Formats: sequence, C-alpha cells, structure tokens
Amino acid sequence: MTHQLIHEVLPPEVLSLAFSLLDPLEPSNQGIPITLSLVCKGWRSVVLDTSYLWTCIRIQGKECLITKDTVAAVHSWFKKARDRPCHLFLGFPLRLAVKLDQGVLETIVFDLVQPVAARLGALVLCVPAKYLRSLAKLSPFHFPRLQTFAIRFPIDDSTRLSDFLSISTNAFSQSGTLRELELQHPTTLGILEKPAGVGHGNQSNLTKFQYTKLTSLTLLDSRLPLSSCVNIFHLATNLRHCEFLIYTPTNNGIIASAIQATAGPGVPGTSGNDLRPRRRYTHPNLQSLKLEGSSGPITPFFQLLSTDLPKLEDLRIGASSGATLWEWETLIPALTDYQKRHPFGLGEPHIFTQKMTQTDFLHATETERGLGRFEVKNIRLGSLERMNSLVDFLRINEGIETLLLEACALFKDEFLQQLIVPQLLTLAERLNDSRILLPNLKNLYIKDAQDAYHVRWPGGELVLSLLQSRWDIGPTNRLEGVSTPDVTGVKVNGVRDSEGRPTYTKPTTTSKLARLRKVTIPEDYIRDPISVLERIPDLVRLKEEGLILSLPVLDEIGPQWEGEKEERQKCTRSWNEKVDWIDAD
Amino acid sequence: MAAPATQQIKIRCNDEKEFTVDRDVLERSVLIKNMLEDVTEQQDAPIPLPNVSGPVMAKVLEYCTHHRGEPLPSADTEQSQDETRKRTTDISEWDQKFITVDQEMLFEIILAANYLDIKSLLDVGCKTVANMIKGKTPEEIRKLFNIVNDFTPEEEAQIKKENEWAEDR
Repeated sequence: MTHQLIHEVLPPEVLSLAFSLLDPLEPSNQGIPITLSLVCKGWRSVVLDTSYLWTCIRIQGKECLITKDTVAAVHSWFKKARDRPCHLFLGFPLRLAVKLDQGVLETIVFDLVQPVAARLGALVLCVPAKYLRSLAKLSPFHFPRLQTFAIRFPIDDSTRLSDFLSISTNAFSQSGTLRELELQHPTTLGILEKPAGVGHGNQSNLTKFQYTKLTSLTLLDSRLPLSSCVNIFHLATNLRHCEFLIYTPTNNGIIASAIQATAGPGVPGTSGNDLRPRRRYTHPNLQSLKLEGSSGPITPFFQLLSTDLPKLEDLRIGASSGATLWEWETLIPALTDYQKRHPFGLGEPHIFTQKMTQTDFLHATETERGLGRFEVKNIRLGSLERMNSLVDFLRINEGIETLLLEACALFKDEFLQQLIVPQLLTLAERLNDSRILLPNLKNLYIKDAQDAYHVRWPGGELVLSLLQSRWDIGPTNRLEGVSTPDVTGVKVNGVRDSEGRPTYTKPTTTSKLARLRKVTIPEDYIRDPISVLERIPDLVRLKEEGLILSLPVLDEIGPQWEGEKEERQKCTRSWNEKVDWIDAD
Repeated sequence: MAAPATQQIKIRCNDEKEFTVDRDVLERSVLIKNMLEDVTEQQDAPIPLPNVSGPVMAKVLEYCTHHRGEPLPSADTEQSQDETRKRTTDISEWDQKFITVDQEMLFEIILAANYLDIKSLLDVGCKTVANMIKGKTPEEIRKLFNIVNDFTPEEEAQIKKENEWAEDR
C-alpha cells in the first residue's frame, strides 16, 4: 500500500469526487481541469469523466487567441460538462478589440455564445458593447437555464449606447429564469452631463418584464434613469441583495417629478419633500442595499423604497460627487424614520461619500446625527478649515462606531491627533467630555494612506502603532520602501525573527498593551509623538499597576517635522539605534 | 422500531480485530445501518467488515463517536447540495485535526468511508485531497503524491497546445 499511487488506491469515482470539490467557478481554480489532466494519464482519464470540472470557462486577458479554433475548443470543453449548466466568462481587452475587425469580433462572440446558449447557467461579459450587437439577435428562449447574467464595464463610447442597451434589454427579458442580474457601466462614462438620451421609451421596455425571481440585482449603470431603477426595484420583490449606482443631474425638481411620476403622489399631509408613495412596496427578503448616485437622487429613492424592508441588515448610501444640502436634509429624516419603524432590523446604517467638499461637511454638520458608520474616500485635505469641518462632523456624531478613511490625503498628523486626542488626554482632561471625539469608536479603518505624513517619518510610526493598538488598521498604511524603525511600539510581542528584530503582530485591542512592562525612550526624542503613549488611558492604568514608563512629555506633535528633512533622517538613525522596547516576558 | 441507543454491536475487521461499539455510533455508516435494519433477531456474531483493517476502523470509529447524534444527510440534502454551485473545501477544526494523518492512512480512511458509506467522512477526506492539490502545478502534484509522469513529451505538449487559449495571460 505504501508505494501505491493515489489513483490506484482510490477508485475513480472517489478521486472524481475529490476533484469536483475544486470549484471551477473560483478564479483561483481557473484552468483546474487542464492542470489535473497534465499530472498523468490516470488522472486525465478521471478528469475527463468529472463533468463538474468542465462547467466553467473564463476567457480573459487574451490578446490574439480568440479565433474560430477557440470557439470550437470552448464548445468541446462544455461538451465534457454533459448536461450541467455552464458558466461562460468572456473578457476581451480593448487592444484585441482594436486589432480585430468589428465584424469578425461580432461573429466570434455570436458563434461562441449561440451554440451553448441553451446550456448557460451564467453569462458574464466584459466586452466592448458594440461587439455584443450580434447577441441581441438571440431571443430570451435561447437562454432557458440562464440564472446569472452580467455585463461588466463594457468598453465603449456613447455612440454605441443603443447596442449596449439592446443586449441589456435582452438580458432583462431573461428574467423568467434569472436569479442574479448585474449591469456595470464603465466608471469613466459614469459622469455625464446628461443621461445620454435614455428616455421613457427604454424605461417602458425595461419595466415590462417580470423580475420576481431575481434575488440579486446590481445596476451600476449611470445610463439608466432613476425612474427605471425605481420601477425595476419595485418589480423585483424577492431581492436579497441590491446595488444601484444612478446618474441623475442635480435638479431636485426633475428628480421629484420622476419619482412621483413613477410612484404616484406623496403621502397626503406630508411635506413637499416627503416623496413616500401611497403604495407600500414590500421586499420581505432584502438583506443588503447599496445606493450610490452622482448627486441628489438617492435620498428620495431611499424614502421611496424604505417603506417596508423588514430584513434589511446592511444599508449603504453614498454620493459620489458631493452631496447637496438638500440631500443631507432629506436623507437623515428618512433614515431616522426607517430606524424608528425597524429598531431591531438595521444594525449599522452608514453613509459613505467620495470627493466630499468642505461645504458638504458643513452641511452635514448642521444636519447629520446618529450615524453608526461613516466612510470617506478620495478626499484631499485642501485646507485646515476643511479638516476642521470633518472633525466637527465627526464630533457631533458621537454614535459612530466605525470610521473608514480610504485613499485620503487628510491623514496629516493634525487630523490623527484630533482623532486620538481623547485617548491622549490625561485623566483630568478626559473628564471634560466636550473634547472627546468619537467616544464610541470601535473600528477605524485606514486604507491607502500613502499620502499621510505619519508614515513618512519615524515618529509617525508610533502614531500609527497607537492607532493600531486600538483599532483595526491594515498594512496598506505603510509605504513600500520606507524604512520602518525597529520599533513597532505596542506590537512587540517578545518573539524575534531570525535577524533578531521584534516580530510584528497586529493588535486589534488594547489588551496587547497588557504585555508591555517597560519602555525606555531617550530624552532627545522629546519632539517625537511617542510621548502620546503616556497619555493612553490603558498605559496610564498600566503605569499605575507598575509599568515602568519613561517618556518625555510632548506638547506638539508633527507639523514642524514637515520641513526638516535632515532632522528626520538623523532621528530615524538614532531611533533605530537607541529605542528599546522590552517585553515583560 | 429504533433500537435503544445503548445497544452494543460487534464488528470484525479484515485483520480479525474486533470492536464493540454503541449502535448509534455505528449507524453513522449507512452500510452498517442497513445491515442492522435487515437483521430481525438479536445476533451475537460480529458483523464482518472485510474491506477495513483494525487501525483504520479505530480512526473511523473515533470520527463516528465525535459526530454521534448529528443528523445524517438525507438523499434530498445531497441532491440539493449537488445542485448548489458553491462548493467549499473548508474543514472544521476538529475534523482538520482528525484528518492530519499520513497519506497512506488518509487514503485508507477515504476508502473505508466510501465502503462504509459515511458521507461526511468521505467529504472530509476528499476535501483534504482537494486542499492538497489546490494551487499546485502538475509537477508539484506529481511530487506530492509520488506520481510518475507517464505522458510522452509530445503528448504533454499536445494537451498544452489544445488548451492554450484557456490559460490566463
């Protein structure tokens, strides 16, 4: 037995069972049947009989391999899947589209899809929209088993919009069997001056189909008018997951008219801004909902659809280019109202925003209350006023438990200081509640913070360490190639690597501090923010419990370091040489 | 009518090793469960299991004892799982520790699970094999399982050429 081969020991059906657990739908298992069949003849024989392995094909990233031979090979591949539903992922790069004649590509796409259409369980296309024109010839009955349909980021120009929409519309018409539908338009085309001529005619096409079996709907398509989205949403009553990115020009009058035209007049006796419809649309199974729009439309949409979402657990509402005062003023009451009606359903609604302006923060500061989670992305600091606006905004939202700051250049240490000030205050200072920012913060996520100053100078590492000691901050905060001082602060855990350096662990709670028993910091680091450690409540407590802590007191952190390159370099060197963290163990 | 949970059943392996086991533990095996249901009278003779050795049966019984009382997968469940596209190779912590054995024992456990018709144990064994394979090249897989490449260079080249289009570039 010892020297018998696996395929000699295990019967083919058992080996086949093991192989079939390697899900071909997982991107990491791409090409798995080929890999397995190259091992030996015995395995190849088993692989060829394991139909499940042959149910998925991803053609993507190819430059010039899409030929008639490829089409034949794809069909041969799917034959081995026997009667199982097949999954076809098709992604042509733009360079291929440029190289090949349009007619050729159209033919290839059609020849590829048409013969297997009846067997397709999933069709995901990332293809220039104009090459999808041929697929529009296929009518719904060609896809009797299609459950998942997606068009992602079709590279296109607006002149071919009709092609895109024709295939999209065709996709919608599959809704008799569809469970998952996803349409994503390229981001670069998302910000248009107007909705590219998509009018009510198309809307009526889209809404004439049945969507009752859909469980997942993703429309990241700025070309679809708001009213269409609203209608489609209301028709898809069994949704569990829904995501909309909607483009609508910032004109509240148009938005209100569109919604009211779709849903009827608002509830009698309510204010003009209350656009809730007379009908109560039910989505009893909806668990997650993400709404994002260029500006304006999200709030009334939410008001409209929030009438009855009893299972909603995850709500994300975002504006991609600056929420308006009107947006903020109407969204918050809608959210508050929803939460009143479903106090135990929605755990942590959050609003996220990208490219928010100072004005947005000011508006938000006047209107926003009661957020549990807040996400900020792609913000340039711009000015101190703007940062202060954000801080003010955060200050009034004491309930925020989760804060995400992504790809923002606002992580100047002034901001970070403000963020952690309550942790830095002495006990006496902390009694002054008015100074506490985000007292309920439990999770702080900082991503892509390459512009942050605190990662560029050695003392800044300590700020980061301090933050990491309390909140979950990923490794993306670190700059590639930036030397990290041999001090990882509170993360030292007593274990050293092969070169004798303290190993890095990622603390997520202050409990990690409990192991720290002795800290020695040279006096000449008086200007370093390490002194903030002394003010951490946990460290204060530890100190009272006998922690040996020798830290200078520092009043100012950070700003003066910006222009002192030589000083920083000197400190970096010295830092590595002198600072000593000793674990109690 | 279901037998009392405390009933003890004897089994005899192919190396004459005998085990006396609680009935509900043994009934994790559909094969044995069916055998017991077919027997109408109390029998003292041990049930022969000619395809399983004593050491392997000991491991199988360890598994069955740990999972005793858990619901057995019904035919309907298996069918629906097969239709569900999402397949996973996740293994619970206890099962992971249990199945951390050398390859020879692993294959023997899988064989025994297949013979005895213990679906969940067969799954654990197959998932372990799948996890061993995952992410490896053909050459790495050969090395792992001590498999000799019996393709000629021409045959290997031909397979690669036929499937060139399916490789990610």
